[in-house]
Amino acid sequence: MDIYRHRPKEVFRAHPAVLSLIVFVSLLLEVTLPPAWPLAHLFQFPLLVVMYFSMVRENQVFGIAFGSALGLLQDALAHGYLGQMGMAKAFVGYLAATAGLKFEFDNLLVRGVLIASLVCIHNVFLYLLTHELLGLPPPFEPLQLLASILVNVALGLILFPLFDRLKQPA
Amino acid sequence: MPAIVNRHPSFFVLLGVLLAQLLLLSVQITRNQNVRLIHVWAATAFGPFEQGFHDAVEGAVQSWKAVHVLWADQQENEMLGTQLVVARARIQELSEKAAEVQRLKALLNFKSQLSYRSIAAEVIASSPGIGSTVVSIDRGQDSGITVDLPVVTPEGVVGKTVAVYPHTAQVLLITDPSCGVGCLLGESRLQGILKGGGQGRCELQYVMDEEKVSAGEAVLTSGLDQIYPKGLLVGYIVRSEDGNIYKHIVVKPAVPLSRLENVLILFKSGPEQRQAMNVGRP
Repeated sequence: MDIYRHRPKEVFRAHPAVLSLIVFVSLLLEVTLPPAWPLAHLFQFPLLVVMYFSMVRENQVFGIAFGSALGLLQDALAHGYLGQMGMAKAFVGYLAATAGLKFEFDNLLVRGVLIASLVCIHNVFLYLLTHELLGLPPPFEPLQLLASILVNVALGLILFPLFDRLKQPA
Repeated sequence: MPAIVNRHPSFFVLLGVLLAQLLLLSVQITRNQNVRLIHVWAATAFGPFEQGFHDAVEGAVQSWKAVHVLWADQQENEMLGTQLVVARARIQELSEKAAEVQRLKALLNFKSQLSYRSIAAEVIASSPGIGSTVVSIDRGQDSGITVDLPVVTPEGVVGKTVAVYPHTAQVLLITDPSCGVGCLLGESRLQGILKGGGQGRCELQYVMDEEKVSAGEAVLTSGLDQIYPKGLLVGYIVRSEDGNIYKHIVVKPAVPLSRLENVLILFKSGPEQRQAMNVGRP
């Protein structure tokens, strides 16, 4: 199975209104689902949105800007320090766009591996930033990380085909 | 240095963004998280949507729970309905058994009070037709039953055996027009013959017009007919009217003859019956 990209580049984008709506809904789900359904605290909708749109756009600067903006919005809603999520998501956006340039993103296995890797990197980055740099809780919990990876891989594999319908050639 | 930046511009953009946000963080930490305005804006902008979405999700969750509870209640209701039917059938069965026990107990008490030998029997059939005056019992020749034996219950006289078969016998009820019972009145001691009158009633015949008979008076067997022992309750006078010579006296049987279930057959005190009693079922 060839997961590296050899054919000509095909870059996609989403309509700004659609993208804004998706960002809005992802933030809304992020803050409103966990109180009603505690298991939903594992879902990382904004992270999946950053991943997907950075990968399909294949533009690292876009990935950084998009991730940074969405992360800062999350920070603003979280009532914590501004910049924690912003930095983590900017980093993930950059990595996702880089991965989009190198890998065949339509492949289901590639999608799964990329989502797992980026969720892991995002959570570890966030942990290092908040716990090690700022000295804030919570402590690192490997099982929590594993659960988060598995849940978000499953969620991403469900959501990404839906997002595929919204993308249009750039 | 510029060559490296030109080769990897996006990487340096990332570094710049991270650095800028790191500075933002350090500013917040040194100013004790003094970026309240941004949080207020974010909360103000998102607040109504959060509230609306929360209400919608909560409503959906509550609806789902309500549906689930209703479904569970329906299942439980169906299960309880089935159990109720079974329990009702069981109660009915137990009630029947309890009633049977009561009847048999009364029959046993009555039997122990009698000075005659007797044998219990169960009514197994009645002759077809409304107002049937013949019933079949589950005792026959094998129990020593012969014709013209009195059949009674604790309430009173039922009739007499008219046909006997190996394992069953037929009993002619006192309401049959062809059945005659020698009787006397409980208070006045006037004698007469009780004949069946149909429709669950009997008539006491051969009581003179000049005699005084009152409704409600008990009618007992006189023993003169050589079939029924003396002193058994037959019924009560319902109505008494003067006729040409004899009164028309209507008697209601003491025994509810349409609901007979268990009866006693009395044996005459002759040696034949005593021997039959010994070989018959208890």
